[in-house]
Amino acid sequence: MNRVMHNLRAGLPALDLRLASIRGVDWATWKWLLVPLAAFFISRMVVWGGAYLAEVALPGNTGTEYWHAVPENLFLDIMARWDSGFYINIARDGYNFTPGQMSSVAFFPLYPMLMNMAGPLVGNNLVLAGIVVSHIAFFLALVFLYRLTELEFGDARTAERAIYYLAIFPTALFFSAVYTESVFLLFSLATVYFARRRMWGWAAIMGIMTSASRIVGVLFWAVVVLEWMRSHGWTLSQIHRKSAWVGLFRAVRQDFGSLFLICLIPLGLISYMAFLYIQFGDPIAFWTAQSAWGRGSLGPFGAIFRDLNKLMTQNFATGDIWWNSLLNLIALFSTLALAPFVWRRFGASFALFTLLGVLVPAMSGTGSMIRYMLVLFPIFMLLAHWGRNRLLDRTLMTAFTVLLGLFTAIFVNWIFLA
Amino acid sequence: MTVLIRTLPRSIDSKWVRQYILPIGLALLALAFINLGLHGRLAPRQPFAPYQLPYINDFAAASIGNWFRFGGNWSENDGMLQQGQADAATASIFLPLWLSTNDVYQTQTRLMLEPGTAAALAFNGQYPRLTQNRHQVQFSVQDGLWQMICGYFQGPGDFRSQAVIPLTQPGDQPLDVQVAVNVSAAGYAVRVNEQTLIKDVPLFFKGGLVGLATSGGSARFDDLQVFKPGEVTNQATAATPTALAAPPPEATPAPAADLVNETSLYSSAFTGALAESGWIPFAGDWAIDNGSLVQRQVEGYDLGIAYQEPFEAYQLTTRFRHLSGVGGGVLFNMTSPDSKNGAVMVRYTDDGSGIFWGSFDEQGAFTGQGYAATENPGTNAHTLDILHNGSSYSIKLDGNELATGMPLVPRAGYIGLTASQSQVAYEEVSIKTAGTGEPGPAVSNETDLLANAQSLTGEWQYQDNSVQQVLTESTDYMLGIGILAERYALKVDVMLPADLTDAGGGIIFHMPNRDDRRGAYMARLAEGGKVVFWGRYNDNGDFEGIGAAEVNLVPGTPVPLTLIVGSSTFDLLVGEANVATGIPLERDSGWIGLVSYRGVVTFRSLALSLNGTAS
Repeated sequence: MNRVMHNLRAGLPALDLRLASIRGVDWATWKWLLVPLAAFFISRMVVWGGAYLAEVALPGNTGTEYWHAVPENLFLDIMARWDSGFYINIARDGYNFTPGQMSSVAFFPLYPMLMNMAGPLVGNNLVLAGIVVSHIAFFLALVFLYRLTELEFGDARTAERAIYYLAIFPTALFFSAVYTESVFLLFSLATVYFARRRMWGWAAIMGIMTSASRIVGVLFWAVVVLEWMRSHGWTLSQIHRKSAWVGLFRAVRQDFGSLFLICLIPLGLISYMAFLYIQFGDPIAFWTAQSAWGRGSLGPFGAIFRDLNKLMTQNFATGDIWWNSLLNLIALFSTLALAPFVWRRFGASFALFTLLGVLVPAMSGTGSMIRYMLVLFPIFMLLAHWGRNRLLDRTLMTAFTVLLGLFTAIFVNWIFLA
Repeated sequence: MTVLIRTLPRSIDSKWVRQYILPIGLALLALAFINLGLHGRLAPRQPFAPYQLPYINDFAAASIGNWFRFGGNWSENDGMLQQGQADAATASIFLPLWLSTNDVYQTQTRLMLEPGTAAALAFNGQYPRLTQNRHQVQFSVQDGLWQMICGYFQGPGDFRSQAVIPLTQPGDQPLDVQVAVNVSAAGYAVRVNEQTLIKDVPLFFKGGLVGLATSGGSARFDDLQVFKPGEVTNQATAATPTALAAPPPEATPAPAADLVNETSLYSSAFTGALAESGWIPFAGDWAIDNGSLVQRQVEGYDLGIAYQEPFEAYQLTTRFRHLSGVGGGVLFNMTSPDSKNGAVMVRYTDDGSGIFWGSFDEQGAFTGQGYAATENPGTNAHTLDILHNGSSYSIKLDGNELATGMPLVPRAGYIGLTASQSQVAYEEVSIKTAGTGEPGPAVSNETDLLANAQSLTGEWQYQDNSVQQVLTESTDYMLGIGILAERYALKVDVMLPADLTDAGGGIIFHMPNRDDRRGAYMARLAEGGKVVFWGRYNDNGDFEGIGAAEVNLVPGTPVPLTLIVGSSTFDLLVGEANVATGIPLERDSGWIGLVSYRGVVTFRSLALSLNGTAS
């Protein structure tokens, strides 16, 4: 017996060598691809498995207003709910705008445009096209987040935690749905990644796409400008120093080309506004249309106070509460609480995006805040950094996964989540 | 990716090109991508705009390229539209023509089906590529006969039948029919081969698309038309071998009788404890609060409370406001105070877009009868009136009539309040009655009935409350009153001339066409009022008697002639005498007219009840 064991142990190194030669690949160099791939598949299994089970096992809302885009194929149908209808309609029939009514102009064009283009490749099934676009974009976003986090921290473990936190965040189901979240996240991450790498041209290109995918995308103009200023030694902490300003003016003269490229970022939004003006005579129709969703310009704190007041008058003991508002306010205040830490760890540009990423939509209402929080990637990078603490890491992983399953079931059964 | 990006410009030596020109070029490409995509792919395509009413298609030329298809294999062959995929479980195709919710229109087509297949004319479709939220008139085989099924898809695959009418065509033979649907605000009517089979069917979806659908196999369609009544053009007529009959006037259901001598049966006083109020909750969280009866549970559908006593023939008035959500309304005609089963319900839709009404069966399954769009109720108080007149009911919201003549099971029933997905405060509930119980049949006066009258033969002169035929030749003269009906009671005073012993006058009814007596029935006085006879015109226009009776009236004296038409028989009364009962009818509807033999014959006090009581 001992001889057998000895022979086996002796043979193991040889076996390892043979395997390595068979593989012929240094897998460590591909970690930036493989880890996101694993996070992608694991998280999507949770979402798709939970969604399907929730659809077939739980009673959901039924009625005229609860439409089904692909009733003959539940696997596709479960990912098309609520706003998905607008994206499908835009991709199929183009935009429409009727003042006072819920109009599709409220939804930015990049995602439905990609759906429209992908449609012919998948048999003109726009739901499938939307799901394919969402998943491809989500996977690439994970890759960018991994690289960006690795760039910030120089630590693959932190990068790994960041992409897992993002992939299993309670509202991460929207990365699989016919929603714009994954496309926006991809281009916003790419913009920041290239900006951090001082590749201003590519950052500008990605920024243009970002500003065409959601209204807050235009914030990346400011984000990249701040990054450019920081690369030339100007930071908010040195704002009182004359040398910082002198250096900045010198940089403008010497690196004007880069600054010019960065200033192209809003052109994605401007293109959409020009389109709206030409088609409907209202360049800000995407904002005008918000009133039909019960949103309006309430100021930076009006909506927050309104929803807070709503919560104060409810009976939590009996469960007679506006749970959506509760979740949204938790998301809002969590983000606001984390923003100073983001500032301290990553600088003003990330903090600006994190803050405005919730405050801009909050000006018209706190609805869907838990979905808007989903794309604020600096938060996930920060949590990943803190996740070195194993207790926090396990808590987040457990809580996020459970809530992801729950939220998926809610979404699939036509209960409005975000 | 960064490796790729770095290697791309490697062959370019110039730093400017690599750092600026190339990125600017790529940025321009990105902008071109966005703008070409926006203007080329996402510009509003107005898919419903290309076609206007009237729309006529005989499928002689390729024309369905931009139609909305959902399943099946649709093509134009031999001047017809064909769905050729034999194994297509469901297939549909819709015209790129969007009808507004206010459009009154007619759509018609010819369907050709083989046994074992089913096909439908779909209308008011809300989604061009979904099998849901649309009405349709379908033809399929059941129990060895072709049958027509009217109904609507509430959700995916959730078809709800509103009427099933067997046809005479054996199910083992192909079916070739012309089907027409008249859509109006009151509902829709269906004609098959120019015969009205059903009308006043409630609409659950208003406006939308017209299309065709098949299930279980292939089918062919021809001469598809959509037009507004009265807008039929020469082109339309030419396109259809069988000339379009003028659409029938909307057969208005009998208006609810006004209640007189109102007596208050119940008036709410929401004070004190709920248990002592006489109200019995059976679902939800009900309480009396600040002078209102409040349903406080946010989640849940058709939560209800009922009053402890039943009522019969009443006006139920409820004033209520939504505290959160939308979905408040009333229940009535309830079989018991502790269940919604068997009750009629009228309430706001959950999204506040309108009011709908219908009834629960004994198992609690709800069948809708109608819907009316209204403004979102918000948190304002609204008054809902239900006028229950025994066999039908009417609905008013804030004084505006939403529906009349909705049929219900006559009974003494309980009344209740209901809320769905909402918190509702009911501030006032009152019940009044006229004390007369079942109102008599609603009747229209002569002026209304003769508004669309048309002289077919003879010379008809109108005077106050009467119409006279003045020609004296020995032949029948006809006046079409321009009304098509199925079941009704028609009463008219007929006065024959005192100086002509062979004059006569009466009623012609169930005419297949408003201007053609072939196939019609007639009941008229003859021989100066000595006899009354009844019979039917055959397809050649020759009269075939069915029966006769002596009445011996006094010429020159008006006598009431009453015709009560049921679904398959009719009764005839002269004065108070019932001279014919249960005479079989081979048709179930048709146009109505007056007939005189010689003249001068005077018809006075013409009255029509569309709630005929004959069996």
